Amino acid sequence: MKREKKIIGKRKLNMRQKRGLTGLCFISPWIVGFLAFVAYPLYKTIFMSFNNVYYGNKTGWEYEWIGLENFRRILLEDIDFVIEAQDFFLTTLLYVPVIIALSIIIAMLLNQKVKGTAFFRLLFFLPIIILNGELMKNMSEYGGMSINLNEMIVDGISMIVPNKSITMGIILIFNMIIQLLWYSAVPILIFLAALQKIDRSVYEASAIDGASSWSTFWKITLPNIYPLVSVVVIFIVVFLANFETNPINKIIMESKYDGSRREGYASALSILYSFLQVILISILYFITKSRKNSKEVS
Amino acid sequence: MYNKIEANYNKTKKFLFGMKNNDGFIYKLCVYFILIVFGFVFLYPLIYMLSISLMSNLDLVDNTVKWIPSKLYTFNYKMTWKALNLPYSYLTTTMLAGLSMLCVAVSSGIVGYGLARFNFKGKKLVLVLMLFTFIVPKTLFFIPRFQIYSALGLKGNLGAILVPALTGQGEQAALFILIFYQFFKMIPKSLEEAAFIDGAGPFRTFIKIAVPMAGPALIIVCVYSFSLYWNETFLTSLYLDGKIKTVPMLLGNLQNNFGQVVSQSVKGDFSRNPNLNFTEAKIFAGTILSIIPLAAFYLIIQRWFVESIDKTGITGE
Repeated sequence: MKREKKIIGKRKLNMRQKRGLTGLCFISPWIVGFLAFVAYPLYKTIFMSFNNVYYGNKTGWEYEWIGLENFRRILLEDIDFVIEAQDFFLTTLLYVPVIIALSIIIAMLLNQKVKGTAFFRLLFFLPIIILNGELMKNMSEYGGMSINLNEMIVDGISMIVPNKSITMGIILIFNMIIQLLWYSAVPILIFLAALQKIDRSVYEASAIDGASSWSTFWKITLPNIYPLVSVVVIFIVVFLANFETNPINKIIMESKYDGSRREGYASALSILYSFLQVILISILYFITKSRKNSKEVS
Repeated sequence: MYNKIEANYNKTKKFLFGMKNNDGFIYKLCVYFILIVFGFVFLYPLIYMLSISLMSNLDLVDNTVKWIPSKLYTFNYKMTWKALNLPYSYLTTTMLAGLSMLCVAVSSGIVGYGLARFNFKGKKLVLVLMLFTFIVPKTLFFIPRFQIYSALGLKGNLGAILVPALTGQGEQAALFILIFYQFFKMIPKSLEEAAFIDGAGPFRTFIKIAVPMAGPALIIVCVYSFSLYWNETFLTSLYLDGKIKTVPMLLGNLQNNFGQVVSQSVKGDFSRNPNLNFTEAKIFAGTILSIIPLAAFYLIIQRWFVESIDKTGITGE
């Protein structure tokens, strides 16, 4: 009897180990990929950022240790990266809340039970498929993004608001909003999926209790989709940072081929850029996170 | 009399403002109004591009022509069609994006299944590292990867795109793995146990039970990764050495190609025929040509795509 139990116990342990090993088998491609295409490149990038890197057809890659020289040059001597980085930092801080607000509004509109929302869904999800850097660049560079050309609207705005600088400000926001609408397809999708998961009976119950739609929004809708705000924050920052129109990517790309900079400098640039992005994500993440916690406490 | 008025009043009020759960007419009107305004703002660049792309250069400088070109002018499309090397480059881009999509779907499905259904040491670490690969910009790895690909002989061919995709390190691969992870977690354990009792090993269970159930997740991952790779120009231009040219890459170089095409095919004097100059009309025609296949693709698959979004729980919890 005792022996039998022992055998069963042993077999169970084996089972678990076996399951664990199968699991490892399943994710082994990822582990291989991680080691080859992330871990080793990361080490290499850090190594190169402390070096001057040369490439000769005969000698191959050559490294010359120069310590923090690359970082010093980027931060103190050359101005292009620092300026673009500040720009990226500020515009992202500005864009993220606007994109989140826009996408929540549109997701809520699309979640209404009215006819024709299928068409608008089709419309607002379009950028998920067609958005790319060239398209965005061409649209904004050649006037497709600005409503400036449509004088009627400009006149309309300036009739209501006499101050010229205010008019220009409104037009600027308007221009930005077209761009941000195009960027908010995936956030809309994420929020819409969350909204559809909320049980409709909750709304009915609150309506019977006499809650206004305003308080329903703050007490039911928002708390339900709030956890996703931090997901969206991460997504947007990563998206904006990797988007092809982002000038920092271009600087890094070009530095690689620039004779006075080469790979070491570009590596240092990309490390600094990664830091910037991580800082941005943590700032935005903790802003959105802490509010949720304080709400739970209250 | 008074009752009748009140009844009428209530009826109108119900119609306009709605009862508790039903939304009234005014409410619906507002929803439609805001949606249409947003929709217009959203579509504005596309409408504008379409209108400009059909204009000749003379229309462009003509102040009396605003939105509607004086006559339908297809020369822009003819020339940019040639400059973008169509339809050949549609084919290469579709192939590149399609193959990458297959690799991404296979690898992220397998890895997602492994993470969702099995427990092993270091699973948390894998998830954290996966988040790390998602967060860091792709520029962080591009130089060493460049060296690795040249060492492995992957540079300049499709391998540079497909091999990382196959090992779960492709474009936004972490996101796709997480979508599968979420989805496979929802499959009930009992189903898997039943398969196990019937004698199916874990791989059989994965292929026979998990994959057929993963339809919605598969659709999202396929559609999204296909369009990601189609639109990708940063990595493709870097690793493919210009040997394979996708439509967005050619679009970025449209001005040069356009000049060549025009000088080859039209024996015209640039100073005499102003329509041969490169203007925004040509840019927009090229841009529209470059997005048409994806837009058509989207129109065809949108029903399954939207349905899948409802089913996958893409949002996570």
